[in-house]
Amino acid sequence: MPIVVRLDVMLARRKMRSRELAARVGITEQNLSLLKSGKVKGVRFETLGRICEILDCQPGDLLGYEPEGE
Amino acid sequence: MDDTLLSRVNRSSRRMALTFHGLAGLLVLVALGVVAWGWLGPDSLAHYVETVYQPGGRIASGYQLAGLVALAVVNLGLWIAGLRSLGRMFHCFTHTEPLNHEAARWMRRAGQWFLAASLFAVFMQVPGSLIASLPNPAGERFVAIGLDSDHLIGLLTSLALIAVAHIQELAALIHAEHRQIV
Repeated sequence: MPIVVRLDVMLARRKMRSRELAARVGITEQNLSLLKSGKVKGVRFETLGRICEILDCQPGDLLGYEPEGE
Repeated sequence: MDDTLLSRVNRSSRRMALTFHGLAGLLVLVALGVVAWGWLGPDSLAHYVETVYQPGGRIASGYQLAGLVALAVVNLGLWIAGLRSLGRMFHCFTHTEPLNHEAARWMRRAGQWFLAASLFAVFMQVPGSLIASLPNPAGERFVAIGLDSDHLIGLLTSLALIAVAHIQELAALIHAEHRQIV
């Protein structure tokens, strides 16, 4: 899929663990792990908003578009 | 999903599964009982069929009785298969979330068995009446077919079950997709 998730980069920048983020967002660690690896079909605006709020970033910092084959 | 609601669904489904499996078992006993009755006391069974079902003829031979018993047993068999499918459908709800493909598949099968049982109940009247009227004198033998409210309710219920099963399958598909959205 051409949409890439850069959540792990942002987590490293903010020096925050996945477990803490999952707990604060209100999703399971398993779901956060799936989101980090891009193995999900979609992200709710609500979840994205909470992540942006907690990590103090914009949706564009977490998601990117990389055309396939590049 | 609310855990309390889910556990309530699981519990009531367990009871429903037991009920349907119990009913299916009871019908198996009834079918075996009818066969045993025909084997051990054919005259009393013939008398019972003549007085209760009034098939429009005298049941004079063993072949007639065997034919009528066979029709009844096939009909019971179709009902048993339908009830067992419903039991298995409820069994699926005892350990998983309600919207799943397996439950939808069993619901569709139950509907198909009940549809077959309802159609068989309508069309078994043709061979049934012919078998019952075989000893009648020439010109008084007949074939009969009729559609009463029981048949219609059976047909409509089974068709509704099949339609709901398709909806359940679609809902399960949407649910599975929804789970992949975090």
